[in-house]
Amino acid sequence: MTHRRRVVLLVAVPAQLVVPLALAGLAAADLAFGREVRLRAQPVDPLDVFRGNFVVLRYEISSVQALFGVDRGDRICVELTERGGGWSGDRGLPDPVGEGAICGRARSDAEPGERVGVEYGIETYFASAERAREIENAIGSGEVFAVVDLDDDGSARIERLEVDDGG
Amino acid sequence: MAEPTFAERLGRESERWVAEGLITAEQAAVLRGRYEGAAAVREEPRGRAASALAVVGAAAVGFGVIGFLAANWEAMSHGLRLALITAAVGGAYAAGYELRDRTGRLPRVGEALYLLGVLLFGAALFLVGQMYNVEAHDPLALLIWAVAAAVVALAVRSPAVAVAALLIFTAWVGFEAGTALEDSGEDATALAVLAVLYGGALYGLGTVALERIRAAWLSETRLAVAGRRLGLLIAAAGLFVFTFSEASDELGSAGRSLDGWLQAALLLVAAVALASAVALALGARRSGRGEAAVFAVAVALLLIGVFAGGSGDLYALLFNLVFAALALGAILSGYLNDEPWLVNLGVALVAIDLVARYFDVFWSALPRSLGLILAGILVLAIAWGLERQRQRLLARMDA
Repeated sequence: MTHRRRVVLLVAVPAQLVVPLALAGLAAADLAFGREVRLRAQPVDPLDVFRGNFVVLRYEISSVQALFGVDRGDRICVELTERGGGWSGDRGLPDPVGEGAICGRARSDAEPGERVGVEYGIETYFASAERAREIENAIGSGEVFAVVDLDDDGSARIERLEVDDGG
Repeated sequence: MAEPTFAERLGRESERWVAEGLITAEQAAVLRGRYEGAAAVREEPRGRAASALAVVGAAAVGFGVIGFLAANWEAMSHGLRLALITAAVGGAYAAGYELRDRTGRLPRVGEALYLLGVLLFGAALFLVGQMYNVEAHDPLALLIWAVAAAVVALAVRSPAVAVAALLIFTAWVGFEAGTALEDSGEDATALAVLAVLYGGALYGLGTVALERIRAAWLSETRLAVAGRRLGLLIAAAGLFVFTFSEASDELGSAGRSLDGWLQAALLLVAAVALASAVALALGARRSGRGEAAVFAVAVALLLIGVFAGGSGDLYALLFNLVFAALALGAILSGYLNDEPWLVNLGVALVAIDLVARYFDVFWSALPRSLGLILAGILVLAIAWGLERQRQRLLARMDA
């Protein structure tokens, strides 16, 4: 192996060690310093909640009223307020307003006043097969909440799922 | 310590014979040359088997590690998982370097360990994504993985890693396109169009690169060879879809539902495919112009279908002709350029096409059992005819 190729390998391998660690570090920092809110969640497929080891979730804020003209893929933010043990909102704005705002991307075009689907990047939750079974059983008897950490810029990261059995 | 081979013993003995004046140095060289070649030929199948086994082993270990970490999810802390993944990636690369490049003791196993390192790096990306509930279907991770694999392939000059890089890159293209098309509400038709364009571009670029680039990195990684094979397979698969009128019928509606930037992306890939076809036509390859013509016609037909629409039946007829030209052209091209893999692939495509056309045209018109009997006879006849032709062709190529 030539000296140049050895140098390339010496850079490439440590980079491959650093990239996953850096991703994990950033994610952990988000979770540690973000503002925690509980969002009422619902599995998209109630008959087959966990496909493999992940569940696809839908939230009350997955569909909001756009207060401005939106093109598919545009950033759209929702101001969250607490009610009934969970956080929710219904007005889609171009920028985050207040401390508890979550931002995502519009799934379709919408005129002002129309409802639009929004994706926040918190629609998938992973769990081991064992934990998935626990959650699946609990979902039958109570409400599901996703505990989400919010950044100042409105980006969100799902931390865990909680099931309230109503008791 | 391993028993010295005949060629090694001959090497030592011949030096002694020269020293004793029994034979001249030139005669010794001729003798050594005679047996070195034979020894290499005998060693080659064993070497290939060792390589294949090592690669399979690396893949098994890679998937095993992923499975182990996934199965023991809750039992391990995040820190432990990260430590294990990092150690596994680093360990695989270090062992690969030690065995193949530093000591050269087990080069094939070493190469497989490099491949294992690449697989584990991809696993690390996805496992971190799962650990922190990052959206798992983000195609960007595949792109990062493909780039990392390509860099390693070039640094260690490994064909196995180069193939992995190419496959991962192709998976990224498919994933990215699939995600974008899903968002725009488009079905799989545009994906098949992309397959023809991307596959054609890959085959064309690979062929041109082999012909024009004489760099060591290209021959040692066999990247162009892998690109040609993968490209032709993907292009043929995409083209095959449009030999059915139901799929060809969808071309126009697929074009209408594509967003502006998706149309631009499709045109960009088409431009690359056409440019590679032009380069093929201008090159010295004996079948270059014919290959370029088939790809150019396929690309042009697809673009007209997507952007202008029209009768699905007519397109299906035209795509049947193009597919037949591709299959028969692959056989001819393989024969002309002494490439048995092209002959084999062409023969397989002819067989698939004949069976598909039988089911497409006659299946619904015949009673089911009679249809099955005739289908069986047809397949046997195709297999008999093609096998004979293939053997004759390959024998002629060997001669």
